[in-house]
Amino acid sequence: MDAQLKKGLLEVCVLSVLRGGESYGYKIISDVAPYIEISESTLYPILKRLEAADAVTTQSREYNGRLRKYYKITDKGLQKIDEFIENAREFERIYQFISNGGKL
Amino acid sequence: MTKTQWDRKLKKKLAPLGKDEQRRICDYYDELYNDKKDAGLSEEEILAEFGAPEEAAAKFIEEEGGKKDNGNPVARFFLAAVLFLFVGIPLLIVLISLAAVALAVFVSGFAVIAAGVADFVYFVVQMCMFGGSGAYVAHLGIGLAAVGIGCLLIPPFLFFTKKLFILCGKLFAVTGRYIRGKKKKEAN
Repeated sequence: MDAQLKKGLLEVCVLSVLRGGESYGYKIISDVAPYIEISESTLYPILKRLEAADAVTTQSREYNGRLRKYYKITDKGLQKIDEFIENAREFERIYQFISNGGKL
Repeated sequence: MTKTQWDRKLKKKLAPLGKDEQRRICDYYDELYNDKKDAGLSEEEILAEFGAPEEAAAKFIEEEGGKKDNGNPVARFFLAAVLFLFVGIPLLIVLISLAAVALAVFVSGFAVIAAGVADFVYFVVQMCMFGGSGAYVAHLGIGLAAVGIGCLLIPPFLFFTKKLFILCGKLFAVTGRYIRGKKKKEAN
């Protein structure tokens, strides 16, 4: 899969996980991994980008005597998911067109 | 490899990034490590999942555009100039002085021998010209003694010179590492 496309998909996957409720690094990887390949070193830049784009907010809270960083989706993040779904519908129509040999 | 060794390697490879970013990445891995540990994974399994620290660091550096924010270039040049003027030049003078002292000490051993030989030869000639006397014989003794002392002094002086040169070399190496931002040589 194209690296840029994968990056974009991973961003939406992470946002989708967060739509179900706030989460943290380890759990995000565990939730996303069954659907798309993701590693620790891949998730960090994604979370950083989403935070910089105000698509998620972060909060560090104590857990088991240590700090854990929790990520929460914002309205902007939800909007990003909607935009992706809209683009995917358009992409699906193009895919159908291509797979039908250029006929609608 | 232990987690501490993994962390150390990661931090070393993250050097091109800013200090804050390095800390954030290390905190991120610490959190993941603890969560995986709580989930029942062993240290070995966790580090295998993390992959090579070099690869992880390369990814982060690539994401950041490969360079750390070094601030204003004019301010950096000014700082470098001030450091060179008030630290670099005095340090260079100290190093050159130490090397000169080392050389002087080494040469002094031979100088004592040369002085002893010269004294001996001079008074042998004097004795041949004007005949022997107690004072001349004493001078011959002094000359021979100086040669002996010089021979005895050369080995410790050579040792001292060697140590001083090694110290100069180490000072150069430490300064070089400091300039490159690696204050401590990593064991691994």
